[in-house]
Amino acid sequence: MSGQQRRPRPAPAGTRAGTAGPTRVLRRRRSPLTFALGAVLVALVVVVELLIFDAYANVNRTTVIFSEQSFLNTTLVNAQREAVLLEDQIEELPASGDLRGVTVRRGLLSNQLSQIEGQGGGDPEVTETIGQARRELARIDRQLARIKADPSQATIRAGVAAMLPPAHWLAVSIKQLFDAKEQGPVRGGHRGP
Amino acid sequence: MGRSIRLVVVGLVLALAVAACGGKDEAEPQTAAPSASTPQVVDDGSLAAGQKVAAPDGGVVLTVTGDIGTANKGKKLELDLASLEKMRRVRLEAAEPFLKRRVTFEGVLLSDLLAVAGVPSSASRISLTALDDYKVDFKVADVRSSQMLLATKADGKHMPVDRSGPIRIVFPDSSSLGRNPDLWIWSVESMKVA
Repeated sequence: MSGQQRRPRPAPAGTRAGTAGPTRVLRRRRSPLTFALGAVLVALVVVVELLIFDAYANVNRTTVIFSEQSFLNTTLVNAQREAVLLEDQIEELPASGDLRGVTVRRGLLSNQLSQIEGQGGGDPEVTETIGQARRELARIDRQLARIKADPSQATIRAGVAAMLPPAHWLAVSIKQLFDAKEQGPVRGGHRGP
Repeated sequence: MGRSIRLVVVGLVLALAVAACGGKDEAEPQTAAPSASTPQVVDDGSLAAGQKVAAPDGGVVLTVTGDIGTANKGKKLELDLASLEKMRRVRLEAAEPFLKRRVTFEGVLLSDLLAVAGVPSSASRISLTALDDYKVDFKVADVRSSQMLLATKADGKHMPVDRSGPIRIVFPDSSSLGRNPDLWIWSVESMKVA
């Protein structure tokens, strides 16, 4: 076979040399309309993919917001509990004489306030309440220091009388903050994305 | 049609070749420098497993009960900060999930504490309770494998109750348990071994 050249196959009868034979599929020319429809189809696929991607991103963002809000609410509930327990312990101080218990409870409440502050993300309502709560805690601290220096019944009674109003303020205002924040996402998601 | 199949086959072969070239993992260096997020021993301490633990002089910060072999008050083991700090102390930097920043903690590995308390290998779980009655349970096997820390200091300072102290549980970044913030129990008061 070397050195030989294949001879072109003779064209079947009824066809012109150089034209497609009956076995060869003719390439159809696509009309501009077909191209346009193809382009529209591709664009639709791209748009749908983008929408799916955006939906995933939204789910992720919503989950983060829900998780943060849920943690803030839990911390507010914990703070409410600590504030109520602090008020109780202060009330019972003349009978129990448990100054350490009150100090520990005050510390636990303060810690919960720090957690709220960390989760509040600069929310002015949270910042304002926590700021005032810290001032009320400072009033309680001053009385606790007085009682520690002079643990007589008279000082304890005077201290309790002075500590109960700020302790009550703490319990009520943290409850109010919880009510406001707990309703937040339901009211129409005023938190930004 | 035949040309298309050939093109697809060639494309697949090329893709496989490229994937094979890029897929080789880099071997980890054997002598990697220890990272700050890995617990590093800062003091070997004088109180180790098998030694008697004296009754605390200061305020008790942790009471260990249950299945323990070492006790200093009845069947309980009471520890103050000084007793805890006599044990081997380690330091690690961790991402604090509530403050949302990195904090350098110092304290004792919970596994070391279990050894000092004489917790037998048959023990399966520990229950930690905080001052605010919050409770968390851990499997002893997890405690021994996860390098969780019972921290006594944060950023070089002892922690008061209003800063999650005086002792709290902290996890290294590498710990999968640490990804659950609910397990970061603070103001730990007691531990029960079962």
